[in-house]
Amino acid sequence: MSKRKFKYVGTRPIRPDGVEKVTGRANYGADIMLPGMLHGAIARSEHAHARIVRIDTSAAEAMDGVRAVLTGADFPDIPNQWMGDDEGGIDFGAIAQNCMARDRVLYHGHALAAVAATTTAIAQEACRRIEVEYEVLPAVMDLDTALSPDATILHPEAHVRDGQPSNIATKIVYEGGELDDAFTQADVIVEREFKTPMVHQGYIEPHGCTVRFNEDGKYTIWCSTQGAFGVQMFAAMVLGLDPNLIKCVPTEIGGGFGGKTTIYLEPVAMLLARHTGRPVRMVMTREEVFRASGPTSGGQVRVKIGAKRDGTFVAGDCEITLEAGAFRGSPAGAAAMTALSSYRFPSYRIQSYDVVVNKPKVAAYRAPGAPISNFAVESCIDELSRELEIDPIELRLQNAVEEGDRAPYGPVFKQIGLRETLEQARAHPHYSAPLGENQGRGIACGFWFNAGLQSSAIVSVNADGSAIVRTGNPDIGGSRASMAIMVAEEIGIPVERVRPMVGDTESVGYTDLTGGSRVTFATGMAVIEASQKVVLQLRERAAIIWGVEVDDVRWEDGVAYGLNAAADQDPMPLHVVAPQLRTTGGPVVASAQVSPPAAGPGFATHICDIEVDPETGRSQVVRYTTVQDAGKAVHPSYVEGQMQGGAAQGIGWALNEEYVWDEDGKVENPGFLDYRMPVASDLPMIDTVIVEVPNPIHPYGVRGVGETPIVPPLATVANAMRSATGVRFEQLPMSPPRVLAATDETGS
Amino acid sequence: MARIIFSSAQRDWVDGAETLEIDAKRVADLLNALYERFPALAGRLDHAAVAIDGDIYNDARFQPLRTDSEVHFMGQVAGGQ
Repeated sequence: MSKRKFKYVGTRPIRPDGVEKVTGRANYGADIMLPGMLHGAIARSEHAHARIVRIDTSAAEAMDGVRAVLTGADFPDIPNQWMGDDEGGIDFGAIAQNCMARDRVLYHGHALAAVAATTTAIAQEACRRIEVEYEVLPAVMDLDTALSPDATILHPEAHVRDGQPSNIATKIVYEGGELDDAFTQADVIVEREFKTPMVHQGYIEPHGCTVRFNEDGKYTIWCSTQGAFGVQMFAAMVLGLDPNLIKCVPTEIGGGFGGKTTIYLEPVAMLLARHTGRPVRMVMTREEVFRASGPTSGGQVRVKIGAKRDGTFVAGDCEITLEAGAFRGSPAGAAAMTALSSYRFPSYRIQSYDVVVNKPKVAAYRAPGAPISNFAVESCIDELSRELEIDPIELRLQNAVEEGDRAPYGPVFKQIGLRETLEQARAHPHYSAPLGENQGRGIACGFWFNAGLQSSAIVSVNADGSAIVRTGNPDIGGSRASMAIMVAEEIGIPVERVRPMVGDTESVGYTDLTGGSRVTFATGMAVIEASQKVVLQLRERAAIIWGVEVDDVRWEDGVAYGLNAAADQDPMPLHVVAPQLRTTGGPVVASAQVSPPAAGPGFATHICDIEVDPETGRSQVVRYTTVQDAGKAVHPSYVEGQMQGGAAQGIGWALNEEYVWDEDGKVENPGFLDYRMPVASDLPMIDTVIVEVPNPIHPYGVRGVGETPIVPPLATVANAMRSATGVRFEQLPMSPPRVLAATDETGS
Repeated sequence: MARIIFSSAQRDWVDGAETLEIDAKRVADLLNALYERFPALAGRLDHAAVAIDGDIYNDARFQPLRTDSEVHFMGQVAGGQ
């Protein structure tokens, strides 16, 4: 596998979706227009926690142009039932209640009514005229309040601990060795407690969908999503429908990062379309995206690590507490499983809590949970390196996991590349470059599992020798390009001769979401297998033309070769075979489906140089390098883009991003002016080094790459800040006021 | 015999056992044997991901097991890229 010489894999062809996107022709979620279409809007809660006493929609219904007004009473009751275990799962009742509140609102911005009207302006005005009488309840806005003995309990019927209703939905524990004894063996112990805020994925395109309802009871949903089959199933569960009645067509997607793996608007638009008999489009405003879609958890993490004087880690202890938002389901499991997995800890304990609070229900965000726990652990390792006076890369190399080591969550690692990323980082000119005044350097590592899941693909050959590949994954990170490359590699035609397409739920076999860094890995496996079946059919056609057995035909680089030396058989390229498909058996089409194990662990090491203005506390990342094991980079430009994008998001998380809440539980900064994400002028060009340690379970050696790069930056930047200012920041973001206050306090 | 290694939390349901060896050809057989032997465990691992010799499957019910396979039950992880 690793010795295979590739012709197209590893090249950088022009992206197939580029022209449509740069010319504005690509259709995103809000771009679908249908004849007679109505426009939907949602009325949202004015309180973070309240009982709905009464909703009066009469004024809204009386408006000219209003065609339908719905409340929670119009939706079916879907019982709460957790389908999963302590570490992960799904509750369709909670999803239904998150799409439309029933008797209680659980966060400011919670949907409580919806309107369909002839214009968006009328729909929004109608929403304003809906009168709601609330019985306001105490809001639980932070973890300390949620866990206090006299806390208001959000779901007293659902979560019980030690016989008492609790806001703790789940507790997860991993432990091994003899922890207390191990700490007594340590020469140096670092123990710290860290806090990170709730942050949003910040995708450019808001949630949007258009729904058409037909008289035969069937719905068609066009929407911006990371998984059309997920939308189909979720919408069916929320509305109590047969999934067969729902067709989902994924549009182009302007970013998701995990935030578009669930539904918000779709079932609402479906009911509005059914009530009015007209197509209905719904699009969130940016403010609604911040108030009512799923960010990732705020968290608290306590870490204690012990090491011998020579740098050998002997024990690690983590306690992780994450905000789930209004309903159970923070990434407490993944945060726990990744926390200590980059290093060998003979004794360890990881406890992780999923806690409900009166904030929006969290959604996935790129390596969910891992950046939070990693920030705490890698910050402590940086402190250890200082106390031990061991170079931070050397200390990590000394303890880095490698093939054969057991992860705290159980399995033994196969071939992995953490050590290689550390060695490449140490050898990179960045690591030894001199620093300027007020500058500091930090490094950190990170780990993410990467998912496998189910995928299918269809590959066909046209009469002109070109090919089409259809998969079920919305293209977020360049999957169409990588699918085309893999078809080109197997069939042996230029990438530009392969047209990659994203299918809907009726035009391709079931395919799990675009997420978990799984698409190039898993869907790619289906594409490779389908392409290999196509090649077999092409050999059969060449055999028919030559009048020989298929075993007498070899296919290489797009050309059929006869193996019978006695016969007069000139090599026959695809463009000669393809026009003869009609007379040799008809079209050449093949499909394949896979359900592989996880995509192979991904590790990365990042280096950051930061400069801090001592007068204002403002910081500037002046140099940043990411080193990551991609297994095999199919389209290196996209891999580098993922590495840069993850680093940029992590830098924003570290330095500026946070939800700011007022005392009533309302988000005060629901827009990009006040929710400060990094823009191009904030960051240097982020350097990338792709390490390729082949993944043994993929035919090309591919690993997932999309999520790992957001895991190290929080700690990398914090460690650079520690170096620049002498202050260990235990709370994010390290925004100018916080940096200035800390440096003033310490006199740094 | 497949060797199952239980997490500290799972041990509460298997009389404190850290590991067990069970003769099973596939994960479904192994689960049935576990549930029969430890009724308190019944159903609790149905939604778990399963690591078999280091490879993690979200849907492993019919995955084959070798006679020396190492098995872990763990939380399902998808992700959000």
